[in-house]
Amino acid sequence: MKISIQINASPYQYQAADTAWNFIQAAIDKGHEIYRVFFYHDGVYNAHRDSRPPGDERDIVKRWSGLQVEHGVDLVVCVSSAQRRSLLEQSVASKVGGYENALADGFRIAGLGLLMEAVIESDRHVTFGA
Amino acid sequence: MLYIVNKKGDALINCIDTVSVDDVILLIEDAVYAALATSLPSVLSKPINGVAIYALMPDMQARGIDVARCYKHIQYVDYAGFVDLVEHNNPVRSCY
Repeated sequence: MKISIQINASPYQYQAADTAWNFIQAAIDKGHEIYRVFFYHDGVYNAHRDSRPPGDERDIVKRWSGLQVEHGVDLVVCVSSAQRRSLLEQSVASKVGGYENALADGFRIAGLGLLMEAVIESDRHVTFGA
Repeated sequence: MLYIVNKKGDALINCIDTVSVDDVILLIEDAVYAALATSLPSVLSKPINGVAIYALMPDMQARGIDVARCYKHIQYVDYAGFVDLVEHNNPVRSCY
């Protein structure tokens, strides 16, 4: 079945990103399709390109990028949530100014329309919050 | 409906106030502490009629919670079981 995921909490401070990650791995192992992961509110920090955790820790941002490469999962960052937190993707930065390309590889930026589409197109939508 | 609860307190209490027959509650993250049997009555002391209650075992293990110290009416799943609960229940609501 198609499952979409929504993450509303920042990584490292809350468990949501790790719980979602483990859930996604189990779902893929069972043959389910992860239709989209939508990062909302403080969840947008999961996409921060400059995240550099100590070398002996899990790298949550890199882990998400790897998910996109290995399984083609659509990683979507809410544009409004990102702008409020200074995470500007190139197309946004060119309009409003600021540091370009703040999103790590594999993520793309979009509006809530893609969240709604994910809810409609998926068989299940699971939210992980703070 | 599957209710995924990630903490004790209002999130769990509101969930329990809302559930009805054939609903399922899954305790994850800090909500697994609610599975611990306490000497005083707690929100999960008694089974809820027609409602299955699960706790996520990896989160229990991460917190050092022994199943032997938990309420007997609570069942346990790993992440594969978590996925199965999502597959077999619709809709899914997260309480946090």
